[in-house]
Amino acid sequence: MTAELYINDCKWKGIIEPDATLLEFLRSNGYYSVKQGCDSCSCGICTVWVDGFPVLSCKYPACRAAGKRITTIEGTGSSANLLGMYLSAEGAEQCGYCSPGLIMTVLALEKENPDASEEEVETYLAGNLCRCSGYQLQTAGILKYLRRKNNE
Amino acid sequence: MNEQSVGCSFPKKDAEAVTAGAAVYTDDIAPEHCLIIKLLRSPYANAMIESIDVSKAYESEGVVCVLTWEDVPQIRFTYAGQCYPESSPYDRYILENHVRYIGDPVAIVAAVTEKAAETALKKIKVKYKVMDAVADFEKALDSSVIIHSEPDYHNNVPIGGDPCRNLICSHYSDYGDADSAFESCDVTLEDTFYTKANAQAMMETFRTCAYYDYQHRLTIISSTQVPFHCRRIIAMALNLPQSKVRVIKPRVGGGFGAKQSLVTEVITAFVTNKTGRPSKLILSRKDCFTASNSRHQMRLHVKMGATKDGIVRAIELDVLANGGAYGEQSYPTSLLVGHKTIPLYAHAAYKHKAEFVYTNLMPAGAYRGFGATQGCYAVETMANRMAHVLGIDAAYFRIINIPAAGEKMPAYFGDVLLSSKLKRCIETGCQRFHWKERCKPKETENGRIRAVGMAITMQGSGVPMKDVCCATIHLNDTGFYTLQIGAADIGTGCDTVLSQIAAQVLECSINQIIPEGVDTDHSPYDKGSYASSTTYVSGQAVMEAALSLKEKIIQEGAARLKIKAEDCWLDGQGVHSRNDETIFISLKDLSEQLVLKPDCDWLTATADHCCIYSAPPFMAGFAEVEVDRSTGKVLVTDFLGVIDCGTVINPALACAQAQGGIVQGIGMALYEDTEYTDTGKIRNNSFFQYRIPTRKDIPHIQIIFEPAYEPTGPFGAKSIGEVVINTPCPAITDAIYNAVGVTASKLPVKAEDIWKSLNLQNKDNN
Amino acid sequence: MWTVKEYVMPKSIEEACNALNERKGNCILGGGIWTQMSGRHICKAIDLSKLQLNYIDELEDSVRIGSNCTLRELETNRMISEIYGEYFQNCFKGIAGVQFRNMVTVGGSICGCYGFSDITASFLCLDAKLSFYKHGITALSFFINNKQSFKKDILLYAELPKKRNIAQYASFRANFNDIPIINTAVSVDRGQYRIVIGARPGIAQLAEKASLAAGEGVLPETAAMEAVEEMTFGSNMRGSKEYRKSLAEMLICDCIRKIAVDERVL
Repeated sequence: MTAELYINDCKWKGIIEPDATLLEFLRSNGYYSVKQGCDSCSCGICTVWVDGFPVLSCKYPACRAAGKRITTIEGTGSSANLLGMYLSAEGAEQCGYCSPGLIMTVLALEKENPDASEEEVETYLAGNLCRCSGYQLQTAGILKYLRRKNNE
Repeated sequence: MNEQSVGCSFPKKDAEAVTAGAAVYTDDIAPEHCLIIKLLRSPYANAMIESIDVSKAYESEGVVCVLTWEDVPQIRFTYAGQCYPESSPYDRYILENHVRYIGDPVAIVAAVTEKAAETALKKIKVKYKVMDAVADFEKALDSSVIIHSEPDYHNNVPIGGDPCRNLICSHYSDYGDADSAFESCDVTLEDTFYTKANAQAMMETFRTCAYYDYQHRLTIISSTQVPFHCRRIIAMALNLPQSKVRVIKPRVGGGFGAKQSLVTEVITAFVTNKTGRPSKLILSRKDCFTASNSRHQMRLHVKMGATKDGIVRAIELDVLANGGAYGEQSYPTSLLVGHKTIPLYAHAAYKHKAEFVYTNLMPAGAYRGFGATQGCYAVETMANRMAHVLGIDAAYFRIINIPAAGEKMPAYFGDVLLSSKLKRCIETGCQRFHWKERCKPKETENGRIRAVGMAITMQGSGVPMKDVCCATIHLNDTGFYTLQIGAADIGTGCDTVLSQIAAQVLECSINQIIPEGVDTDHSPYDKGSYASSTTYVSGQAVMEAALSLKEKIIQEGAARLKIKAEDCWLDGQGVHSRNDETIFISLKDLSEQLVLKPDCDWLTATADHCCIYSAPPFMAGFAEVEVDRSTGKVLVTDFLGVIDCGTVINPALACAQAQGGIVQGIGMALYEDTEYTDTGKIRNNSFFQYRIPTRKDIPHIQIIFEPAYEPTGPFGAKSIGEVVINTPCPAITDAIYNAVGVTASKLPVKAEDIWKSLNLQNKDNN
Repeated sequence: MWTVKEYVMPKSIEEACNALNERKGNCILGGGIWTQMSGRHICKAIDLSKLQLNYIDELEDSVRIGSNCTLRELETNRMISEIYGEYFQNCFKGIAGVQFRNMVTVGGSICGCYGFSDITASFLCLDAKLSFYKHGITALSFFINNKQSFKKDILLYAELPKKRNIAQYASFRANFNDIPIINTAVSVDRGQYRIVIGARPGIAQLAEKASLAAGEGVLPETAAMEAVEEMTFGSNMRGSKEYRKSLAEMLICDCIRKIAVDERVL
């Protein structure tokens, strides 16, 4: 299918394979931050934004993205780096494989609910698995990030 | 100025790159235009390939090669990443005409695209002679179905195996006269416990790519914990000299032991070797669950005898384990089940027997804890039951039984325990968990019941007389150091921790230490990241190398300052005189002279280390659960881990390791299940079916460190990587018992099992 | 992995329906998740994204939810919360994660007829009506029992009665976001109860006799017991039929009691 879409505000035009997933499409275009963790939409590692909403790129049909704005971690400006610093300051970043998907989800949460409580953070991130860190230090880093303006 | 490094919670060296989503993992850096490898897998648990027709597949568009058992070197090897000579049987070919589990590879297709490879797979015609299969490990020993009867099956070292009996290995050890000791006990309890073949479930699946470099050397990039073992095994399996093979470890998205065995490496190397072209094999999550390796499923029979005042006098541990279709990692696991559990009962005579069997199921491998986890569940659960029967507090029961530093541990290689704060761990845990106050079960507002349980554990730090780890460090111009290690950081943070050790010795900023990634061409030999060795064994090598380099730098600095070396000290700024602070040469100036000038002297130091003693870390775990009696559902509502891992080099990373391990333990206790069909197919083959805990399933987890200074470890450190997973299972099952009186002898403890037991209880009461 | 020969995004319902009926291997995509996971080989995948079927409209007596509306859109819609309270939040909170719910559509869930479907159970309890392009308006309960007849039709919207419905949703899951071992929903409208049990593991069904009995004022325990008696349950990896039965009875009883409290409040 011929399609036109935006990846991180960069226009892309070309032919998309009819059964390509958004994950495959993005990685084949050099966006290696988007990773695959499972094949059952269970881990959240492949999270990107479509028109600002977090989705699982491993099962989002790439053709459906025609006309839409896709955002990967490379397109979040300094926010991802800043959140990453908060996470690694807590020791929460271990193997790092779940980090890009986690960061995309947290940045989406920040847009929807910047004053999220700890419980709301954990509920919003229920679909983001991590096998290394035990989650708690991630939550600590995320809350510090969300509250950073209060601490300035 | 002296910089302090050890004990500081520095962020990981690779944090910035990985959190920014940089292309640093295997599939991110694989060469463009790699051939994509797909595997045709056996649909049968036990079958001979009578014929295999790949002609249509070969003709399929985009296909470059199709390989079958007829194409492989007739060389037996093992996938086990262990020091050579491995204690795993050489029971594998790359492909064989005998397939031994559902998922065993039958054919290899390499094509230019994934779709082309998958289309070609469907065109391969295989005629199988289906045979009876052993899908129940309790029926495997001496079964009429023999899984390995190949004439070139062999073992490097005796491991008590007998493939004619489907016995991979066996182990027996004892101390004292356990039979008499049992007779002298006031109470003897016994029970049989079952654990499942838990999946490591690291977030990055197995993947490897391979290519020939400009010297026509086979170069492998793999998500592995054991780059040097990979090199050796690939060379062996393909009948190549090791000098023609190079293995590079990039960033790795977790392993937890899974990647201590080879899974994708040999096949990928084989394809590139055959075709001359770059290739890659990325395992799907489904294949990870069904065609790689997992924890050993076990049946553990425990008999424990104690005096009425709570001293355990005798332990008998009889283990049957499911090694699956291939025997890698079985023998060392069979040792740890007892070695890392029985020594906690210092006054006990014991018998430890283990038999690991072949089955027609997915092979077992290494998973954090490596036998100690299963053993801890069984022995600690029995200890808790003993405490209940004797009417003794479970924590106090442990205190009066554990060994103290300075004591000999007959069950632990006869070694003298050099450091331990386990007693303090238990005491601190009791205090901070409010153990005494919470011992009485409590009804909650919503009609549920809360109760607590605890357990202790130990592990090792490296494998004594086996694990060889080396480190090289050199001084660059402008005054920074390159640290070359073979220890594979798989998310554990060893790059950072080892840099901290080097920085502490060299009294410089950690930012002056650049750890290099592992590449068998550049890195000094290291057996790899397993057996909780990177801090303790590799760290010792780093420390010795750094000390050696420090001495050399001081010598050179002193010579240039025209003073004696013993009157100098070094820090991150340079070489200083002890007696006159104006006498100083900066590291920048010194290094430039050493590296760039005509009278150069490239300063480098290498050290190797093989531990002769495996310093045990210890942990006390305390769990609170809430049980809903109407549904049987169990939630862990609180957990405290108090850990003696020796000096804590990086508290934040150690805390993350601990919390991560505890969550894995909670998963093993309550959520993670591996079920087989009658024909041996794994039913839990996705995250949809194999439920690892989410962040909503776990409690607040508190970690406290009670470090005992370990004289044989770098700056007093031991290890933390594995010990942290062991206590949740027994602590949680005892908390459940304390809450609702239900004993759990099988893992995972499912809500329905508790509901059934409670119903039976109610019937009995009525 | 699925395969698709052609991916189309029709600009009208008629175009979509024609495409669907062209040949057997053509299918409508909802979120597309389950379709991809099933490994289907599809000739033409028909994506309804361009048809603007993701509306949530408040009418005088009802709420119309476009078939392409995502679960997350429904979950976060203020008007829906005002009318139905936390009913849909309770229904959706255990479904995978936010990203998943941003993709799964109401139409895809309902037309997929998945046994574990929380949406089907919640909609059935509110006596949803479905509007199909060819078949017109049909009750969800009729659709569930006759889904084959609708295979070549396109769901346009689901319509829920807009009353001060008092409805409770409850499910039991092994962990926070697993598919349910059982799901239940109870609603009451002017004394008429609807008791629904789903994930049996079979698809949601209305317990008609128990619903009538509840309306006649029997004790919650009695209504719950009658509801499970008139249903069939099965065993699978997640639970045995006996366990499901026990859970269903307990959850229905809880739902009825909570409704009684809500009724008094209102």
